[in-house]
Amino acid sequence: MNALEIHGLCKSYGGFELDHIDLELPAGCVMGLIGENGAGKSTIIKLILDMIKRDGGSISILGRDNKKDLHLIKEDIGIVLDEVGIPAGLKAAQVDRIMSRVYKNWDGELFRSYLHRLSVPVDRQFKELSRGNKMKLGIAVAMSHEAKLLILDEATSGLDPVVRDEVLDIFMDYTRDEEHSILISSHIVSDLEKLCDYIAFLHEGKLLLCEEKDLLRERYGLIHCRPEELKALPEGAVVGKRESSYGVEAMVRRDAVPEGLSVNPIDIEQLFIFTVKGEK
Amino acid sequence: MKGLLLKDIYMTGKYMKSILLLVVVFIAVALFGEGSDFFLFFPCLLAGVVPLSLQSYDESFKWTQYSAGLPCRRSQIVSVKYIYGLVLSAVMVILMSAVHAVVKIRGGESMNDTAVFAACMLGVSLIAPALSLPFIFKLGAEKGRIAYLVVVAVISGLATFSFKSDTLPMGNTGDFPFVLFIAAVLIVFVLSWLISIRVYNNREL
Repeated sequence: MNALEIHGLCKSYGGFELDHIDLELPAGCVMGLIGENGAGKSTIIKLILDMIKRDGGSISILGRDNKKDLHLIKEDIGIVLDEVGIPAGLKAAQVDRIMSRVYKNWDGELFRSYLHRLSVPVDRQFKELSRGNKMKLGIAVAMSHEAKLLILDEATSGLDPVVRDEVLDIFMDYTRDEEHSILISSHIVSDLEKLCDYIAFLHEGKLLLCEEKDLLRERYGLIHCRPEELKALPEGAVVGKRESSYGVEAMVRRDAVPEGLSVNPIDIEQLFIFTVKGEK
Repeated sequence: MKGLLLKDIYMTGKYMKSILLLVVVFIAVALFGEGSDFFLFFPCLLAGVVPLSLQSYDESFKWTQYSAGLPCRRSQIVSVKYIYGLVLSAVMVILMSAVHAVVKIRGGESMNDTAVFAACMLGVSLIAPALSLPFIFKLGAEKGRIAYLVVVAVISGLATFSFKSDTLPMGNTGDFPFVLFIAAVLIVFVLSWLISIRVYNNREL
């Protein structure tokens, strides 16, 4: 079963258009949404949670339609939004008591253990926490009610590298259970590279590609050459390029370039940049 | 829904201590001063304001978006504000009616008009949220606040006018159809509740 299925999703407002998005996140996997500001990542998450009305398409979460059965499915969804959303005056213990009455499967002990593990000060009000600690508290809530799907909107932003690494480890532990899946959007591509099985590139409301991360690496590579060497490559081999006085750096399809040409591995950040540039 | 209610109780304790202080001051003035019944009406008006303030806080803390991801329906999110407002108003009306009765007994007056007084207080307490919450749920706290200010200004104006011109039927309880009045207020409140659920269901968060 897919944890998340999105087909033909459209939404337009205020000069922005999300254009027929198709995504499938298999259960037990992690999908990263990568895109610049305004690319449509948060819009997709809002549409999944039915915060905003879609113009077209369908969304199915854990096998159920998100319009008809969302209040039932939400027991199985953990969310962390960009601005968390916990009221400023609440302390962790109060959040614990509130959530124990919100979620049927709330595990207060687990919540407190996450707070301890992530070093979140429990005696402070939410407004007194740093951005990183606010995010960690939000993550602890999302992880403490036996959710099968985590939806994380920029959940690792604001965390220092050491804590980010620890949070990523927690997410990776979480997905060891094959029923557990994560949809995560982030600007920090290195986080997604470490965590994700699937990568989706969004640019100006369009889905440029959505593939298994390992397949992307197998399929694409990076070459450094002179402009005339680049021109000699078969049509369709070059996905994107960057020219400078030192030569050309280009992202290419490995299966389309002649044998013998040295093709270097490409990381997800380069892949994204070249894909967007190719689109432009 | 219990969790949402508990959150609102915590928020009230945290952000609305000043209202509690005002209530104490107004009760003291009513009991020990020579103030009019207006001092007992005002706390009821404040009780009605609490759900509006809570919704405003919810929006500024982005709880509105966060709660959309919690396992509750939008109708429950709306209903919590109405239920909480109703309970607070009822508590405040009972408290102020008791104070009103004490003032009357101490002054050697009849308690006959306390029931009318309670009915009017309930009206004052519920009418502001009833008229304002649909705007707030539809337009958001920022724009809805304008509608709220207009409603409060109108109610305060009418209340002041009534006290000054003695148009409220105090002391003439037989003429005041307070059962009908309470019924009318409750009907407006319930209609407002239903409208708020409808508009909030259609709102983009």
